[in-house]
Amino acid sequence: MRRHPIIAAAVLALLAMAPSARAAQRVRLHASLYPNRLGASTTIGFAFTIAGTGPSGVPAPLRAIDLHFPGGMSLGSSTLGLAYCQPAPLLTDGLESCSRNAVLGYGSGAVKVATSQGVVSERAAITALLGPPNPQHVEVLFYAEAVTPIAAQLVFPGAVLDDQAPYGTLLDTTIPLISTWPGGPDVSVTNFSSTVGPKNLTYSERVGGRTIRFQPTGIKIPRTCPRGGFPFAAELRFVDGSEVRTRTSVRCPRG
Amino acid sequence: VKTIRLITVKTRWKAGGIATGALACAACAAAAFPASVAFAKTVQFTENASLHLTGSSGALLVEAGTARGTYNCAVTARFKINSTSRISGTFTVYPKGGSITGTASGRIVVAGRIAYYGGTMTISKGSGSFAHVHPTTIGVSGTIDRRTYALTVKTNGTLHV
Repeated sequence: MRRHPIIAAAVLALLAMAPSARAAQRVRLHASLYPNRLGASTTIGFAFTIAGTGPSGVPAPLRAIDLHFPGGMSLGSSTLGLAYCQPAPLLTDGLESCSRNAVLGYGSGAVKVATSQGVVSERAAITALLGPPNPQHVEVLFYAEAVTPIAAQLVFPGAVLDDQAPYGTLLDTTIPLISTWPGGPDVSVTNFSSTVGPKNLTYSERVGGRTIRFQPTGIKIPRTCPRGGFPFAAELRFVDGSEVRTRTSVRCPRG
Repeated sequence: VKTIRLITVKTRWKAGGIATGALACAACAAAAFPASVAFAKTVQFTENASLHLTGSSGALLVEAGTARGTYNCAVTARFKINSTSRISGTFTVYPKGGSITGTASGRIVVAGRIAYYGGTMTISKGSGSFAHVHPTTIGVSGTIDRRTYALTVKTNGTLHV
């Protein structure tokens, strides 16, 4: 209990320092639909590029991403995620603990950390999987696996929720803080991309004693395209308290 | 006005739609009610059904089938999974002597291949012998096989015929 005043003082000191650390981040969102054809089953791709405005170019550590998908495009209309994955075994045993039928898509990520020796980068492979059933939302688990220079695995959850027009679905993802070493800084996400859809996915099922492989159907593109294309938007929140909003659109298919 | 209690458990619907299936069950139960008790105004029922996919158009899924068990009744249904958690559709059942049409909506929970749903279905109109069916809202729940879109439906409630 006696430590509370000290902690409070430390927090106040940190807050006082905050303006210098509150450099704005620059975020670019890219989205794609493959194929981009009205009424078709598609793979949605999204990618963020995040940069800091400080001298190192390293952004503040990322805490959360809210990604808005266009209206009329629902995961429920697809056969993606015919199995689900539990986060604890996924973290302990890796992708082997989950059915391949739980995979929703693949992507990649990159993190950076500024040290006295310079900026250190690390890349990770991302796998998006269907999480355990939840009565409030559809849960997506992002499994990140980095190899060099540090081997590390990470699972972070995303909640798929209904959204307001012109959007239809919100993916609310919480990014855990990833510390470099005890007492060291947290790493900063500089790139994050993933797909949600059948591209590069193969599921399997047992039919009559035989294993059949098949490609799941993706999220259906609506039969009409809104003016200005299919809208995507995102809000990214950072440890330094800053929030960046960005948006983009995928152009309407011709014909 | 006489109230007749009608409980049919584990009646199977060989083919059909989703929320529609449940609706169909209720309508079938009413439709199949013997003519000798046609004076019944209220039917309380419990039904189980299974339905299957016959076609699709974009995100719209079309199902059709036949109820089997105590009552036999053709069913068609169209439904859409509107969002990550909502499902809605329309249904028509074709009992002997007419048809009954309605809407259904509910929430779904995705658990891998199987999604669970629960909600209500509302009978909106009828034709032929069922032209005077009362608009009624009935509880419905069941499962959707997300690979095949086969449905199971459980429903119970009161029908005014």
